[in-house]
Amino acid sequence: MFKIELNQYQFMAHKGETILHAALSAGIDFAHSCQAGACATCQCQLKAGEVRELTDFAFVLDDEQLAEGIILGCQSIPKSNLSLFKSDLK
Amino acid sequence: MLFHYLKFSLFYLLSVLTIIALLAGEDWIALSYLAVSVFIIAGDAWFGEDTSAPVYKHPHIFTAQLFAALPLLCVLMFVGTWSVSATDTLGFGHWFYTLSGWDINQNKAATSDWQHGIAVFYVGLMVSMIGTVTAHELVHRTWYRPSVFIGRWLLAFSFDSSFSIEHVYGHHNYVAHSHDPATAPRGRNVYQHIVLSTLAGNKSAWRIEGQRLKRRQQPIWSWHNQILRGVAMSLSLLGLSFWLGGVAGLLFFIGCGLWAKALLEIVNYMEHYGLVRAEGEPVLPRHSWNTNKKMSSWAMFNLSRHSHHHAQGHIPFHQLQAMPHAPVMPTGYLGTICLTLLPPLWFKIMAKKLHDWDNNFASESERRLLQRLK
Ligand code: FES
Repeated sequence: MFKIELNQYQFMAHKGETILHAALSAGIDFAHSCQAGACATCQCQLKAGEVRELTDFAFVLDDEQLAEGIILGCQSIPKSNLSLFKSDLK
Repeated sequence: MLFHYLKFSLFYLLSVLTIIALLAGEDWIALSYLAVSVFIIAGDAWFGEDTSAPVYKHPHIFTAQLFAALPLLCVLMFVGTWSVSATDTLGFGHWFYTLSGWDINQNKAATSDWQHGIAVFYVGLMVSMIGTVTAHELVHRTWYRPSVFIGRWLLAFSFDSSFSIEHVYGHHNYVAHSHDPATAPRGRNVYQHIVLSTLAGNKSAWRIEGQRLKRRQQPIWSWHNQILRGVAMSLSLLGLSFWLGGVAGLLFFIGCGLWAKALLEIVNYMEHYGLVRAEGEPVLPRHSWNTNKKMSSWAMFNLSRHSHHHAQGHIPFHQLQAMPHAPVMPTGYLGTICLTLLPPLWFKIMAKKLHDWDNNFASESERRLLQRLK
């Protein structure tokens, strides 16, 4: 289990669980759509920690976003405790 | 419940029938092709719809079934290339004779060129059903690499591994927009669509993959390029078919692959023909033509439940809902394919359906968009 801090929220992710799945299970309204790494609706910024990419983020995120540490919540499995920021999260 | 697991095995039955027909040769090929087509088309017409949505406790059975499509397709294509080769490739006929007492070499010698020609269309249809349909399901599971890997190999049989890129990262984002290669505008006939969608789809895949490589600072002309890897996969299959069946085997393989690719584009055509989506509108069930006909759904892993598939592309086929209130295509898949091949009839049937769509499904902004497109 890894601890995730997302904006003002804190929740846990099980081993092998995506950030999106863990956030939704914790009752957080984490914006998402395709859940296949193809639309970028679930994007958020990785401020600390490490994730495993299930698909290549570069299909939908541009150079600038990749450099800023933007990741796709639906395609990221935590490899450590994480600190995240999602700009469209209420 | 057992039945609900078994119903998706229909394509095994059809594949085995095709393999037996190829081994029997002569008129058995055409008869079997006819029987399979009538079985699916008439079955859709007679047996109606399957709108059930059971909860499956063992979905891994379906994953194993999807993966099994690859060895099955290999066997089918081996038998196909053997059936047209001038020699008894790898002594297969002789081995089969000692095993079963059935002289398939004699059957092969008695099969005429035009009977082999029919086999190309028959096997092409099966490449489409065993290969493309299962691959479509597999390449959607982007988060599971073995699934995408097998899906891309299945697509390589119809020279279309780049579908794994264009379909997921292109078509599913653009569906029903005018710039979506796979959505046919009103008035375009299916023959135009096969060519235009193939060209535009490949161009779109190249653009998406090129952009990805640039962002990763990897060279376009390198092994990192998934499109080039896909081309290499198809070329290796062509090389194998030549080695197994000589020039005849190679031509047979090319013919089957091209027909399977054409069928994919025909299916794209009928799944979204004439539908529009206003900029900024989410993809909803109304942006695809749906059908719940039994044979089509069972033989094609619920590809027919297309409205839900597009609204939620990540949902595995066994969880797709029937969406009885979505717009409905004229009949089951194979029946509708036949209708598209007769453009005047197709346009007549679809004019009514589109009129209904415009009045009862389209949003206000989509109606305005349709006015502008007139
Ligand atoms: S929901 Fe579309 S990329 Fe994550």
